[in-house]
Amino acid sequence: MVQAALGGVLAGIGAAVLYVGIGRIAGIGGSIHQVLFGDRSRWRLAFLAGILLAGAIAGWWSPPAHLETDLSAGGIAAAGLISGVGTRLANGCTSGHGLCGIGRLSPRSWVASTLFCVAGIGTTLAVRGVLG
Amino acid sequence: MKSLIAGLAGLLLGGGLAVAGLLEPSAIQGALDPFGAFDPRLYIALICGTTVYGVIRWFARRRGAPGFDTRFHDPTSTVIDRQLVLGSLLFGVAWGLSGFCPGLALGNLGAGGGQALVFLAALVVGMGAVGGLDLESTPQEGASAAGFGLGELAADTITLDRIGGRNGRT
Repeated sequence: MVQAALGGVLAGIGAAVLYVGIGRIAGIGGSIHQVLFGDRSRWRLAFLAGILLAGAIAGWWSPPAHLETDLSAGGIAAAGLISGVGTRLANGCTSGHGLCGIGRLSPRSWVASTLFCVAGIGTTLAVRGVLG
Repeated sequence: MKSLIAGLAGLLLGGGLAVAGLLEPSAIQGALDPFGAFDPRLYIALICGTTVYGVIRWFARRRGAPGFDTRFHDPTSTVIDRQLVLGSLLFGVAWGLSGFCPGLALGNLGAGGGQALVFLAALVVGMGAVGGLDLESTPQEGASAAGFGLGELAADTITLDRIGGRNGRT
């Protein structure tokens, strides 16, 4: 629990560095989209590379126990597809709407983040209902 | 310089996710399972992260401008439309199904996760499908499943983009 709090603070500082430094919102889904299909800006690419590198350092320093789920490759692909459509329509994901949007008290982001959780919990319960 | 700052920001944000234990999709699955093996770490991290971010942002805005740009690029839209609602619900469904979101997947991939690569590849296809519809072109090959039935939404997207500007809606 203490680690979750510390990690949250660190993530918040990371997002704040982007805002204080270059005035940008730390949206990861949006940055992936912009790098591939949009403005192709270098700062976004560097931002994404930083996250990837942090993951690599974490994997080397103290490897997470469960990097994968029980889901089949088809299930993961379906989830990725839905997530990609969703994050574009909503114009934000857990970082842009969740971390930054909640922090800057944006009504759109509060609605989006609440719906992320409502749909996520509903899906979890529905999957359990179907699979027993 | 901008790229250097952005790289540092990504490193800190990704490091935060790792420290919080949020590179593991099982942590998200636990957070979205309040009646089962509930895992509160996501919410604890979010409360701490948003508070820190909100406070630093408030002080930064009082200074007037960011260190290495002429202005702050905040999203301007305040419209809560059905595109936001539908997109958020879809995003949540995928989150609940898999435990993956774009940020977690990217950090997870860095740590060596194989499923994250599949998730990210499909994510990009999904994004491309919406982008393709945005421009009133046919969805790209391989994206037809996601593109099916989204024509009506695409019309909304175009209208809103003209009003609000493409980057003004986080």
